[in-house]
Amino acid sequence: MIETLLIMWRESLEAALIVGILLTYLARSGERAGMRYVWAGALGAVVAAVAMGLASNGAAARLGPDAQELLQAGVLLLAVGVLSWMVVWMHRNARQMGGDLRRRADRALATGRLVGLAAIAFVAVFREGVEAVLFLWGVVVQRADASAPALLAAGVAGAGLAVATAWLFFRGFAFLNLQTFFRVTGILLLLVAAGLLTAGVNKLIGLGYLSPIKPQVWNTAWLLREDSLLGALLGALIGYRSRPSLLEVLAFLAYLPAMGWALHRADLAARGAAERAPARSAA
Amino acid sequence: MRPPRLLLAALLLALAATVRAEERSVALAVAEHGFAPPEVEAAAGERLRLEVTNQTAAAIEFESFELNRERVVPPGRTVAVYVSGLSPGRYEFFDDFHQERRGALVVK
Repeated sequence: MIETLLIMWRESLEAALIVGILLTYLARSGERAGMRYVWAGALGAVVAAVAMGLASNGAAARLGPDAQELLQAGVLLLAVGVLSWMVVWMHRNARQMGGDLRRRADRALATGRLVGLAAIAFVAVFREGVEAVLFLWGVVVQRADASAPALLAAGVAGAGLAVATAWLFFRGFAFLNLQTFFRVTGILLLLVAAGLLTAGVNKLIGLGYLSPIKPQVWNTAWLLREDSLLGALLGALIGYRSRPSLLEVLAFLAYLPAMGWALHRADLAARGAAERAPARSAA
Repeated sequence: MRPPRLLLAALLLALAATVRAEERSVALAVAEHGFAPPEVEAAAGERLRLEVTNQTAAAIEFESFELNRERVVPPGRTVAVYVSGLSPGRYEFFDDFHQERRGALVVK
């Protein structure tokens, strides 16, 4: 019973944390309407994960498990692309954040941005969602007796606990002033994106499409184990692993300065636009 | 080298390294009582294709912190998990959904 709850807690944690960042960011930007998009993405992912999980159980599954893993890798890398574009866009338009978006001529771009956030929420939930569904289905199958509903309840409780953990985590952010808050969540989102990229690369290595170059660059298990609470949190949020391969480390380390450069350019563009346009009062 | 180009070079290298690589397939089954065989041997540096078959009625998750791999396998299905370039040592793996099932890859 406890095992089921703990496993579901771990599986759901990553999704809960990522969705939590998005919601916290939107809430504090004054874009409550945008939060509906994130919820829609997350709930859509739950439905899709249930469908895919149940479908992949049958012998008649259209895609074999290796093909599904390749699809997951592709989805992860696509999510990194979308999230990166999001962060750059938000940076470029930091001055208008919280302002009246209806006055912007390119409203389609604004809606597209919210759809992008929904896509991130979808990917975050879908990825672990499929695993969670397969796990719970197995739990039900193994206990054909009356304890199945109780175990399912324990599983759902585990997922609920992950949501609570994420909520608590982000409550801590409420005490930050606005500027610090945006800076912290901005950095977090970048680390999340780097973590997703690394996870996608890890899947491609596991599938045999990429070589790790060197399988274990270092071993930080003595410092932080993946099955500890902090290790699980960091693993879920930024993809912390105690024994990463060289290719994964390069991917993570190359992404951050590349994004830093893109954001610097976006900041310059935003500053230039602000100097040319008349000043707007802050929301 | 700028970071994007560094990554691109690394990716091309990683891709190229797999194209000509020789690999050896090893069958690893997950049964109700545990992994069969419970220990798999490999030579240092070789490219190994672990064919993990789930012979139980419920989903399993092949996971290893040492090997940095995790993969869910639905019941009755087989997946291919690649590991390569390992130094001599003992690399433990387990079924994350039923943690009493444990095994190890011994690299000589």
